[in-house]
Amino acid sequence: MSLYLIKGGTLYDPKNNIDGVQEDLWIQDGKIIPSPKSQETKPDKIYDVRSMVVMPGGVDMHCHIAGPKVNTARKLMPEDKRNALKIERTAITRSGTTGSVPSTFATGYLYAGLGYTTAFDAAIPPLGSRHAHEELQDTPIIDKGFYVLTGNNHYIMKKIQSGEPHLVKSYLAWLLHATGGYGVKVVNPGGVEVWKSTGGNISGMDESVTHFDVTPRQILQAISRSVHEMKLPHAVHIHCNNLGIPGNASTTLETMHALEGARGHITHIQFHSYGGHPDDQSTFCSRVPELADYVNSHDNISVDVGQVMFSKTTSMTGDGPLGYFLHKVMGRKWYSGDTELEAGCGIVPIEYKNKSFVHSLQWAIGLEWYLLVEDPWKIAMSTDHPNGAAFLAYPEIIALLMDRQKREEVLKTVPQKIKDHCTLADLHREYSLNEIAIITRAAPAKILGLENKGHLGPGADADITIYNPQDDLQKMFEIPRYVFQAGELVVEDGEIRTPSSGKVFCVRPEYDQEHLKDINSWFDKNYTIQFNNYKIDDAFLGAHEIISIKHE
Amino acid sequence: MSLSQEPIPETNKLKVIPDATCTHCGCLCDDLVLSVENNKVVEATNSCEAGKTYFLNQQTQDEPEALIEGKPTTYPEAIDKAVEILLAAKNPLTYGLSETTTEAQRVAVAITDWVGGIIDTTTSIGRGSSGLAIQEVGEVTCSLGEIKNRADFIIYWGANPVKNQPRHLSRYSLLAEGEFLPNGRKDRTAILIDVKKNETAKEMDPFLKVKPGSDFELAWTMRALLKGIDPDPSVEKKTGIKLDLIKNLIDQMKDAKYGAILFGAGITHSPGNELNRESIHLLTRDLNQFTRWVSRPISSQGNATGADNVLTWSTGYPFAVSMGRGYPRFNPGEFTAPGLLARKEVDAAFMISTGPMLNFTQADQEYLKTIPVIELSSGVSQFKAQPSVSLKSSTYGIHSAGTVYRMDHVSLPLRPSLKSPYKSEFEILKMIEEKVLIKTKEK
Ligand SMILES: [Zn+2]
Repeated sequence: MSLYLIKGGTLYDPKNNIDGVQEDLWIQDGKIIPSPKSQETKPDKIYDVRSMVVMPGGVDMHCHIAGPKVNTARKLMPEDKRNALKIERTAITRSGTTGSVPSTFATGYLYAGLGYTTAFDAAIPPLGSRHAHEELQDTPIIDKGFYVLTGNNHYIMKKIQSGEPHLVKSYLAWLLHATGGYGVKVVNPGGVEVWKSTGGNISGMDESVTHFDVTPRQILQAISRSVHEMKLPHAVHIHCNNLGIPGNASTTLETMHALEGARGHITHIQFHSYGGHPDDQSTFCSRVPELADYVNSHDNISVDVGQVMFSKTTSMTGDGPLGYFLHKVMGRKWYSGDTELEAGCGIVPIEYKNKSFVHSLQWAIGLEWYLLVEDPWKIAMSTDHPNGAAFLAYPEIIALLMDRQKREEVLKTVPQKIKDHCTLADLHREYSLNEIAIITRAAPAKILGLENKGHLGPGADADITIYNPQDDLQKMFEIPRYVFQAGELVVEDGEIRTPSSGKVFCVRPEYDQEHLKDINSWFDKNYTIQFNNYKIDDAFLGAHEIISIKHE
Repeated sequence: MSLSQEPIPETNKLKVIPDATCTHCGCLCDDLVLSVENNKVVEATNSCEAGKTYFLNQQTQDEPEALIEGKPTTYPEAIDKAVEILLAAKNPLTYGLSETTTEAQRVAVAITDWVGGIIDTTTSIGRGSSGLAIQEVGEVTCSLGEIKNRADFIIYWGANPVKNQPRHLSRYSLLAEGEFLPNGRKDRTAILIDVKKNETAKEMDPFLKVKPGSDFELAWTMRALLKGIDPDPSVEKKTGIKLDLIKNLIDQMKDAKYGAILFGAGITHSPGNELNRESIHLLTRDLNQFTRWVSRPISSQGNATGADNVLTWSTGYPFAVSMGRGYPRFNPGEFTAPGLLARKEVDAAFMISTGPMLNFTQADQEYLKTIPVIELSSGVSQFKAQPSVSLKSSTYGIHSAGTVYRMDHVSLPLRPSLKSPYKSEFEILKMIEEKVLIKTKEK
């Protein structure tokens, strides 16, 4: 197989403690290999990258790029695409549309063009997994996977109610097998079920869920315990109750406490860090400092940000009642889709404006998170694409983090009173290239438990992004000089060179086959499809890698 | 892309295939148990009568695999000719896609992309699940299981499931025992709104006879009443329904826990259907200020919903997409097949698994006689004139595996039961795509 040498670049490989060191990289069979001992070894091709910045390929651990909800959003918003960037067909690549929700081919090319080589969709209703896999197969170049929605699942709630936690655990394991999912997601635990059955929501962690005598706290604890016991590579991925509501920081703190030391990943935490009173917008404020303190002092918690940027975008969420809330606020078109026994979904167009006090504060609160978490290994960059902004905003966010002046310039353009409602103006920290490499690659790979991603050591997948250093940091990160994925040159100066397909990551935890009977009989009684047609065959998955579970 | 398919047994012995999906209507019931002997389905358990007939009457076919200008030939020869036509055309149209797998639909979109053509599906004639209403006002909807498990109030509107979706009532809606409605029918209220007392009426609590062409006015009257506005009394005459009756209905609807409006071909296939649909979407949205309501079309056919999804994820738009400028553009009217043909704006047509082309006018059909037509289908030809190229495929769900999307966008695998001498649409389209790519590289 071909042997490539990436010669003389300046490496930023935080996992291997390499911070700006000039070193060669050797690639073979899609992997990074140790430098050959013999001086005689001749590579098939040498990429001379002296003076360039070399990082592992980017890893987006929380985005919405596939499945029923994303596809409905595409359909809902033709106007979003008309004047947006057009992806033209070439001899080797497919055409596509963009806007806030790009078509699948466009999504793959755009991520790769940005130097991102791995992305995870964060909210797939299990019943929609077959659909999600089909879209992921049509999302080229990047490696990918998804988390299945479980926080409002009827079987889980029933088994909590009846005091059979072992069945919750077996069910989750079976569900990951059946759907080809990678992780377990909880969205507004219990709240979506309340929306589906009454049109309301849940506001406290100890309120009871309609039809099921359980609380959000119990749901969260049962699932996080199961995930912990199964030793899944990624901890439970949590979208807390009360997203977007002033004062919700208390719920977020309570959620972190409720984990009782078990690992948990709190997602798009920007949307969950608000102080103030729900009925008085003028009291809206940041409570990032106290939440960040908690994260700084507790190693079981990781977060991604869900940064808001000023732009037109689409809000899409597995949080059905949130969709209705936003529809009432925005007054524009609204999609809501309830999935039997499993989940909900809300989609509304949204525009974040720098003239808006609330939107500006949301923007500032996201940045506070990056700047107040001391250990960058605990925090991953995300815009919750497309909720806070499209993933194409990452280079701009990088520039904001590395350059305090740039933040101050933006701060001048927003309502000045936000300065009294958050600490952003007082934060002087500036990220180094090494810290950027952590929050955009090394940390998300670590949080996901993907040992071959996010670093450049021997054995790693040869996903490598190479930048030409520039004074304009945003430009530097927008168009990498080279991007390699699985050892192939996929992008050169923004142009696709190899439209490869990438693979899907799955996990297959063990479970007691005896428990299948109970799951099967519940399934037959309540679903409208057959048990055997719910499960996705390996042949259907296409290229996939099963990440093994470590039982130390 | 991959197709998982268990090999169809060589033996003639009886084989039983459980969990088979029926593509006969948009219900896509996936619980059929098929007994197969001597390459024939001899028994189809759980199926409705129509589905049973569909499975049991599959004929062994002995037509040629391909024709060029009506003369028998082989797949490779016919595919060469088809590719020649597609590449020679300035503005080729790909149309149909409702009666095949998403795997095949994905390749059809790819081919259209490579040749810079226009692609449209049967959604443009109302057979899909999508429409323009969702783009205008959104949609509040659900998977069919939500109706089964929660819907204590169901309105069938312009629909006749007893005749057209025979197992809808027992499997997904009115008669099904649900998670929160253990007594099935007894726990539900059901109303039919239609222009005539159809076969479904006898299952209903009341039947409301609405005058043809006044569904829109009825929906808007209901919206007005919800908002506490007194409608103009003229609506009684327009809709043929007494205002008191409508008021009473609205009061009942507000008292439901989870209501569902299931609308059929009477809404989706009628003139002005987009406005009808939009008014139902808006009514549903308004009802959510009082209690939970959802709505959904139930008249989609075959895998039209799969085609909606495939076009949407690969181009951003559900139908009527032109790739003529090298990137997808969406314009219903301009890029929908019937209009394009009537205006003679395409110079070749690639007709794939179209199903009956009922909505095509005489003028459309006449124009199709004057341009090269490639027809890929498992059934009988839909064209009056002999197509330039005919490609015969095996039948999805009978002979070939793949994925299909139910009317509520839930996707299901197919479990083929019979052997066929023909290749699947997916296989044939894949051969075409490969050839197109080779030829475009040569250019
Ligand atoms: Zn998200």
